[in-house]
Amino acid sequence: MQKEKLYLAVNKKATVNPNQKVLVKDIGEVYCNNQIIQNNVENTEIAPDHKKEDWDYMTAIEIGQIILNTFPTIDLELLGEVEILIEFKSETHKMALWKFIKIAAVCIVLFFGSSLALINFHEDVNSSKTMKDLYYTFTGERKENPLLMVIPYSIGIGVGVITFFSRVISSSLRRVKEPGPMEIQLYLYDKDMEETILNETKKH
Amino acid sequence: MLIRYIVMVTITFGGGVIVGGAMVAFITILRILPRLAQFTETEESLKLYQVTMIVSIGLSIIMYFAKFNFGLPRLSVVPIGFVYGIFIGILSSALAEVLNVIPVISKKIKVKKDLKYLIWALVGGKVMGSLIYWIYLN
Repeated sequence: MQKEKLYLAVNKKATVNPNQKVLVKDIGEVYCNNQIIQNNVENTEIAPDHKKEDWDYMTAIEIGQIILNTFPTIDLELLGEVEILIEFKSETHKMALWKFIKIAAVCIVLFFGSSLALINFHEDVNSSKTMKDLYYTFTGERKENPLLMVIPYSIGIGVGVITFFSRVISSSLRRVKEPGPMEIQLYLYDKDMEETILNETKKH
Repeated sequence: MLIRYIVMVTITFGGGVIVGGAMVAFITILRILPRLAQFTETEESLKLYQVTMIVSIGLSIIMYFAKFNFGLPRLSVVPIGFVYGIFIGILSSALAEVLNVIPVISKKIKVKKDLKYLIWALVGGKVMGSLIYWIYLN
């Protein structure tokens, strides 16, 4: 009898509820011509339930061994990653009020913090003298506090920050979907963190 | 006498090369030009933007050391100040971005979709800080 060919593409990371057993379908994609075998393999348990929130990792070889032990008659083809990071995370109950308080607290810190940082910056680089000099350069007039120039300047700072951080305002969906630098940073930070966790879990 | 001039010119020229290089390197790590090019979808003009900055740095040095004025009408400083502000706004947020402040905070309190509120808090804070500085502290 010819062996049934089965493809398993392992993901980079899986998020599993700690009270559930880890099944093959949680960690990757399975494809087989025979739908019954595919379903059986998908629901094979590869790790017991973990009970508490934690991180763990498995190699694709280990997963393949478990599958082959249960289904010796299939021809398994491993695709994708060689190891997978498993995050045991229970579904959090969304507490809207608590979340609102957290966001509000961060916004307050950022609001007052960034204004202080900007004052410090101006004081640091002695920009009041620079602005006076520039006012003189453009108008030929000496003025102690050139408000006419520095109030538009302050508003311009806001426009600059928005330009840097925000997504592009455009009617094209393609342009709107391009992430801002902060979103890219957040993604990179997440990625680095997962790689570090994988590295650390491996050591134990 | 001649030797003294040559030594002085060499030293100051070397200093200028380092300062100019440092300035451009600073702007480069902050990735201001790529962001502006990406924002306006004009990546092909990046060369032009670079030349603009080089010319601007050169001219500003002349403007800084030579005491002269353009004698423009007083209202002309409104758009000029606004444009200055845009650049400083980009510069200061790029600086914060390099320091990775926001990703760490938003990771700690697990906000991802509400990043825009944080950005608005930053914008408001910066504008307010600037206004306070110029109107009351200065």
